Amino acid sequence: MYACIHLPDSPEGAAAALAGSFSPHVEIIDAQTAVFSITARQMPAIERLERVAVASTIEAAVLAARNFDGITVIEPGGESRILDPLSIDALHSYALPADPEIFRTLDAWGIKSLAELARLPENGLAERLGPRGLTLQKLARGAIDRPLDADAPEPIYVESIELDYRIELLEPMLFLIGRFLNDLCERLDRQSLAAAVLCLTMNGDERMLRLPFPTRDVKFLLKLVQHDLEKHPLTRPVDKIRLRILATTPRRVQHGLFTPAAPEPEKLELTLGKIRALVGAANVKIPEIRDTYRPGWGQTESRLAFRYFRPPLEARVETEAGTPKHLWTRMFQGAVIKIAGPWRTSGEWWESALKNPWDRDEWDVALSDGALYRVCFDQSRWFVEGSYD
Amino acid sequence: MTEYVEFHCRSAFSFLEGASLPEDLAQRAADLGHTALALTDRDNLCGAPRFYMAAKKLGAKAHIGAEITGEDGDRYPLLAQNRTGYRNLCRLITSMKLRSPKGAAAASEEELRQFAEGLVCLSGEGAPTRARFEKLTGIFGRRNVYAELQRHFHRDEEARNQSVIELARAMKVPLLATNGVCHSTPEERELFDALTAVRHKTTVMEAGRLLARNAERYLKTPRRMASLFSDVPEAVAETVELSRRLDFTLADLGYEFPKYPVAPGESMNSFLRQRTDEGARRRYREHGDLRDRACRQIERELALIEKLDLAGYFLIVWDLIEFCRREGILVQGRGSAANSAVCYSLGITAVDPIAMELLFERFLSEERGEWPDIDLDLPSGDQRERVIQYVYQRYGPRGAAMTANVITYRGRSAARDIGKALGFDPESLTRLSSLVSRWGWHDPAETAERQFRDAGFDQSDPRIQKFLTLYTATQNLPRHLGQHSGGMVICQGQLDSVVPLEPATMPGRVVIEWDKDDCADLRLIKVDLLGLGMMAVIEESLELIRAHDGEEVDLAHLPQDDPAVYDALQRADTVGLFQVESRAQMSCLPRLRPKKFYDIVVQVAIIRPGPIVGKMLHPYLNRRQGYEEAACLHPSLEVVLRRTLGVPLFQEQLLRIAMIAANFTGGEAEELRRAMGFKRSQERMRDIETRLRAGMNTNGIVGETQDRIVQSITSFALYGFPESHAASFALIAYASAYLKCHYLAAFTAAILNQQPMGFYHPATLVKDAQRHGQHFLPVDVQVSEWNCKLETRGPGTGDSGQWAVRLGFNYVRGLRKEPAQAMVAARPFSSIDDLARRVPELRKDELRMLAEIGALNGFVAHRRDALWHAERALRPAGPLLETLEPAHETSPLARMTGTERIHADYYGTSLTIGAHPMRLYREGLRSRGVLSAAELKFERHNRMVKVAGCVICRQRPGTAHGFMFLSLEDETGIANAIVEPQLFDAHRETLVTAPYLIVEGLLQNQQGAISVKLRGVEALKLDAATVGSHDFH
Repeated sequence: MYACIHLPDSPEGAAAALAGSFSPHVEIIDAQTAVFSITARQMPAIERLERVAVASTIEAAVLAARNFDGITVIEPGGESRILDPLSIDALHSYALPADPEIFRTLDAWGIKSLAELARLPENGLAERLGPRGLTLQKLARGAIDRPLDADAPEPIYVESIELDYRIELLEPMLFLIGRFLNDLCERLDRQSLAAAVLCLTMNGDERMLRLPFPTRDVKFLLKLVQHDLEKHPLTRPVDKIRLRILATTPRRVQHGLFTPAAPEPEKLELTLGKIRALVGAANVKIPEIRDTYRPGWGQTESRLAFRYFRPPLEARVETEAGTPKHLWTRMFQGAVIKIAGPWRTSGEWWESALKNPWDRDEWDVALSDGALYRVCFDQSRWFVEGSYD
Repeated sequence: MTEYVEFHCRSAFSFLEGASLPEDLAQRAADLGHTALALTDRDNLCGAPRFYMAAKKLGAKAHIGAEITGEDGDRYPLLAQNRTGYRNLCRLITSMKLRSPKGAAAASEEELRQFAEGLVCLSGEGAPTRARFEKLTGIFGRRNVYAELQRHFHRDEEARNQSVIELARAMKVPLLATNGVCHSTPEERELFDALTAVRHKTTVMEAGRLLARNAERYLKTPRRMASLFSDVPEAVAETVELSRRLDFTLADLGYEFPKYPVAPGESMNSFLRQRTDEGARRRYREHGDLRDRACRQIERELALIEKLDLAGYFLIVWDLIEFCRREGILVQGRGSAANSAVCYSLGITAVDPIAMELLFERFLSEERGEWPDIDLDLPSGDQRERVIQYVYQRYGPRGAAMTANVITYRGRSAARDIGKALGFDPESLTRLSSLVSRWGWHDPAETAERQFRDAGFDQSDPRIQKFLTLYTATQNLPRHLGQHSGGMVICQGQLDSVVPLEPATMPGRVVIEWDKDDCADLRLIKVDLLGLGMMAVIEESLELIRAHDGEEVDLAHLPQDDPAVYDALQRADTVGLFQVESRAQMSCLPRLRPKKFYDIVVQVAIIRPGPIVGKMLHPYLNRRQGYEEAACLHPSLEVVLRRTLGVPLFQEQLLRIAMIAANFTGGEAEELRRAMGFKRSQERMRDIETRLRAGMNTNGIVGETQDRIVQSITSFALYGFPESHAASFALIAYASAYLKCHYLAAFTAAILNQQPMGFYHPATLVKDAQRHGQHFLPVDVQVSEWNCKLETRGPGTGDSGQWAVRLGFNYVRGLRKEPAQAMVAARPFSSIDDLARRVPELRKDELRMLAEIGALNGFVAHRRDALWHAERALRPAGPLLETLEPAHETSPLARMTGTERIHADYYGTSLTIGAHPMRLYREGLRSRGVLSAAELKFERHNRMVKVAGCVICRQRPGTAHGFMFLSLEDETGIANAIVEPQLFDAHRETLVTAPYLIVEGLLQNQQGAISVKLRGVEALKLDAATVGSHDFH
């Protein structure tokens, strides 16, 4: 006999968990429904459950559990008596590759209940609706008999150790972690999986390293752990270490004959890791040319090499008819000898003033000191953005 | 004063590549001190007439040109130097568009060469290379190419300018400064960006450098341009020189209406006179009393036609009428042409303007300087298409074309496009577009701000603020070019040298780039060939009557005072009739009680915004029923208003009032009408009012009477319905009523075949016909045709009429015409399997649908039986067993219940010829005190009643101050209900969405016009099918 637990209002997985308390072999039908094989001795225990059905076939148990409150027990041979009054809609949500056209046809035929479907002649039904129609009819009769399709438990990739002594230095700690990684990556290899995330717990503090790509390269993983430990050193000696790996499918890369060679991801990640450790993660950015006219964001218009001042230099500017004539900054000053511009851009008018829509005039000016600068006015202040080489 | 002329300027007619209307650009240019401006829209001249008219009014010179896309991807701004140049530009655009798919037109170098004469080319914004300049000078000639300089403060552009200057000086090509204008003011740059995002199907956030770099592409003052190009002053000076060179304006269009070919020795005038005389003799043979008046009027009209050289136009329309007569196509002129005795004599119109004392000046007047407008009503569909094809064939593919219809941004389309451009998510977009109310009436308190707040949008969000601004700015901007429903422009010679032609979506048709107003402004003559569903119904009815009853019904000689027709009209029994079937018409008919033809003319005209807004409806009805004295505005106007009991109802009456009371000439009076209808004509209206008052002062009409006359003219002339038009429509209304009263079967079959049309859903038409005793037969694969048809009724089927209407395959949901015709060709069938085997075109869903609606019942006992067998017939049996007739077996399925059959009927054919769904619930409703629609007329006025039915029509017209009107149908007829605004607000969802309603309210019985003034409403939850409702908002 099979028992089906259906908990429509409980959190996802609650039915499976409950079923798991009865048997290690549980078939999860959906997030709210689970089936397991039940013995006579367990019968009294299920009577305390909210919504459960017991039947000699899995499908009959599922149908009954989904559609009847409380406890439903269907004796072998008594399926039609219990299931007959159910609406044909009860089959809609059944986890079959259901064909909506079949249900439309049944509706046009005036088939409203499982009893009506069950009573249709098998040959006639097969001629019209094919094997899928017959399967539905068998379902309606509670006559589909199949074995339980219980899920095997998900493998867990964890290694841990509790030491009799405390480790203070990085090297012995890395030695232990390296051993864990060796074992875990070997297991991953056997399962054709790779690591996606490393969760390293030391004395109860967990640090999580998300990998930029799936890998089981022990040396690389160990190097990453080392960088992380160097960047965020431990504050006290360690006597408990636990390493858990979240697995995923490995990366497969097809190199193309004509695609330019990019740096190997492993190497790139290590370099980035080093840089982050040096300057802090918040200060590491990846340059990107944006599709915008916003000055400094998109492609430069200039044909000369341009050197940006970061931040731009505040300037005081003397103008004539809106055009700069003399320039003062804290680093240089001079009269404008030659000038080109204004070059005008504005945009992102749909954003609020806080989000920085821009409206700016720029001039390229040659100063009396012989240098060529870019002077800007953004409707509120003057500044020098940089110089041309 | 600095002089500069802008020669590169795109308007919103560049369709998403410009943000200002041509009129606004012209106005802005005038405001900024420009004396001339060119319009160069992308690959079209759509905006040219509006631009020209606006500039003309402002006293500015309007240069015409277009930015032509070349096959090399470059754009060439071309300007018409003279008429040859303009013609070549039109031909160039036509040539490139007619050979390319929509939106992909590009001119080849060969085409540019072919049509280069008379055109001036600007170098545009393409690469400034010597090869390109040499190519252009090679095509257009060295004198006609200008090196274009634009300055929008870009580094790249300036570098390019320096190359252009160098190259132009080396090649001795003149420099020309332009600003590449895309919007009239800097502020419109935001709208321009939004339209750019719409064009590229992206959002402004994602559009990146597709958007404008800055807001500099606006129309600048000559001074500003001169200052911008102070280093190359010759580039600015050259614009003035070029403007002097370009002497073409749209006044010099060179359009000629085709000449009608006449025999040698004959002139068009003499030929027209002969045809008119012949016609008049025929028309007035039996009306001796009118003949003399008619002759005098015809003489007067012919003299004017000759003077205005319009004989050709009348003959060409007459030729179309003759074609229709030869081909047996019903045709009738409508509109102001019905005021003309010449049109009546030529058979163009069917209303006698002499007998009806119609005003000729409304049609044609010397002062107005406009072409007359003749609209022809034709049966919609194939017959109308035949007439259109005749015009193409007669005047050649480049001699005639349909007029365009400019589709503009309105309400929802604007909300959707602007919302998308601003990156709103789909859910917000739906909410935004639904904010643009579907209903005709707007609560004055319903401001955009309130609507947005109610819909949960945060108005402080800058995106919402931008949405509101841009949404408003987009209103009325052109979105794309459509095709007018029937306007055709005909030309002597090549129409494509007058206006560019484009391929229409419908194969075999071309459309000009101008709409009907543009044609009128530029004096292009247009003939409107309008498809009228009712004309098609009448024509098909006549054919059915001829084929089945063997009778020839002559529309021109229908009995004039048929009692059955007037009885039906007086009882408002008018479902399906032309023009008098709407709920509003029905509520008026019992009060107006038409007794003669002129009453129908009044009835057609009175339920219109004009009489309703002008508060003419109730005074007229009261006077007609003797509740009010039929007093005139002034004794001198009695002759004009006598027929309408002193109440002005028609446009012609207002014109005559102006003529009599204020000494206006016919032409001046017509000008008055146009001033009232013209947008933004406050000044013109004030001027006319001054003239009206001066004229009335001269005639001694002063004080309150004068005010009342002025008020009635100004409030009414805008919406008034022309009497001639009403008379033409009344003829069709009378014919439809006559056919319905005497040939119900033929009329019903015809109207079912011409759907969609009219006010009611086919389900309602069928139920109405059934209440009149018409018998219907279901769709049957062995008998039905594609269209509904007539069949002899079997014995013992009652005595109301000889013919039954057999429903056609056209009513079967999802059934395509091809398999339906294959069935008709292959029948009879011996079984469902035989049908499925011999008509392989039939798809599964089609055969199932036929079974479900009972069309296969001839082979089996009931519909479910048919479904059971059809399902097997649909399964391929393989070649071996294919021809084997399967053993007969009974289906195990139960018969459909009555309700299930009705459901299947409504689902499968959108109507039922069985019981009305409400009938099945009558007993239960009766126990709840619900009356049927038919019982309402026996109840006392002001009594509280309950009535229920399926909603067949919901209306909330703009003129009704927030009131809603409902029509509820049950098995006995239609009940009308009136919902007050407060009740509407309280029950909005139920009233708008529930398919069945039960309503309670006070019965209103106004001289037989029955309605229920609602006090309460609830949705009636029935297990019944949903009947289609026609909702008018």
